[in-house]
Amino acid sequence: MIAIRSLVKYFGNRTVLRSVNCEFAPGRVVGIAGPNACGKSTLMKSILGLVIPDKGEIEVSGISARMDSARGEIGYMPQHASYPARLTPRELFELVAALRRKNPTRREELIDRFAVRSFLDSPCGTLSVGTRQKISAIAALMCEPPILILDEPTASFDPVAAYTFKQLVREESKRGSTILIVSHIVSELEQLIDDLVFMLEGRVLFQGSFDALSNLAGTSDLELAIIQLMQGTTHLHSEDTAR
Amino acid sequence: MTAAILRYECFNALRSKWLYAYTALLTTTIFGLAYLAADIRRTELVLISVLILLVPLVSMLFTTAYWYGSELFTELLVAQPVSRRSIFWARIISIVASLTTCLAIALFVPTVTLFGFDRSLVWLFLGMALAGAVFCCLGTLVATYVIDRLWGIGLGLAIWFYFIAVHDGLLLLLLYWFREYPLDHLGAGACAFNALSIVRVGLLLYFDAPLLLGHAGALVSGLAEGKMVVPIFFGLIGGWLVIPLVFAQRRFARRDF
Repeated sequence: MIAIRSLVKYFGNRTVLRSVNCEFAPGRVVGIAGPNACGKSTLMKSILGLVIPDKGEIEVSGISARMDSARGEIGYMPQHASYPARLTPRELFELVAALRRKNPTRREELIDRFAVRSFLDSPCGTLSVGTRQKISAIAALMCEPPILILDEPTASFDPVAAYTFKQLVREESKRGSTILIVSHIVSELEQLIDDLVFMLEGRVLFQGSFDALSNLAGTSDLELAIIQLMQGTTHLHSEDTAR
Repeated sequence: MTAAILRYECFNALRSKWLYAYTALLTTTIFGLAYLAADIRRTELVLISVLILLVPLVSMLFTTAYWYGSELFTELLVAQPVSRRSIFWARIISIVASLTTCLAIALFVPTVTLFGFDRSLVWLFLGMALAGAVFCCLGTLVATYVIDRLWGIGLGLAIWFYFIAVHDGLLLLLLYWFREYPLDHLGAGACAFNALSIVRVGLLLYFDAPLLLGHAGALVSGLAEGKMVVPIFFGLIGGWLVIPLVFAQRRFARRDF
């Protein structure tokens, strides 16, 4: 469970988040979408403690996001998996498990599912972008965190890895995890998400279920519905909009 | 928690090919200089002049490059349930420790091989290790405040150049312009604003080589009195270590990734 209240963030004179309020419930896969520079990455980074908000409060599983322990609840998969060139995936997994003080219960299973066992002792600098992304997915999922934040997760995956990853997301969702996916790939969102948060100019313009958005936009095509939101041709009802 | 990051950071820094190249180059240079000087005392005096240029430069470049090069990985570490303070201290300790280890190998292996162990080598090592540590702290300060890596590395080089040449030049110019006034104390005090002057003066006073002190050093040596020199030396160097780190840590704790 993630609760965000009146979140405001400035970068210099620019207001990036304008009093954002939203909640993400357990067992739901939520897509965060919006045009470039709408604030979705800043929102995600605020939850992760990477960006420090100027006003407002974020609670992660009932713990203030300002506390270091809140991040123990979150598995994070960044858009660009960049690791020190000489670090091996095995060492990375050991480091992440040590920092999280948790047993990486799913590590071996995930290594097999992503077929990366032969790369475990290779320096990360020698791995392809796609393999590094698989390593990143394993690092995020192996300790079974109750919340997952995935930034453009399948952008570098081959079709097999993308399929495996989507299966994993569905399994995690059934297990009761809260999953946030930031993505520009509408087809990916369409396949995975239960709810959508649409942001525009630092505000949450829509938060609701995929079905609610379809009804509102009068189309079951998510891409078209999102385009309508961006163009302002879909009129939002109070029950579906965030404050 | 800090121990896990510290262990990783030390492993990572010590596996840098850069550091091996630095150690090899420094060892070869020191071996060559020591062989040509053919005397421990002369070798030490030559090494003060050479290392005071080289060690801060390498420390500044390595530190800034290390921080900028691990930016995305730092982001991943910050997203883990560990305090930013732990990440910051683990990194700075590992950088200083790895560079100091390189210096120790490069300094002691050739000199001890050629001349046997001399206690004054320890003071030379200590002085240079402190100079290197100060520049690691300044490099960290630069890398935490300046986001653009080219600007950051450029600023780091400018700081090194200021401490190596510009500070003493400006001081000399000021003393020349205002030569009719009694500015000796002021000039000596100005040394406190240059960490390298402090190290150089401290070492040359220890090695009793006033001719190599330079202008700022000559002012200090004229005013230095007996037992106060050592506490003042360590107090000033301590300030140069602590102050940049306090600001850098505050910035690191509050910055957005």
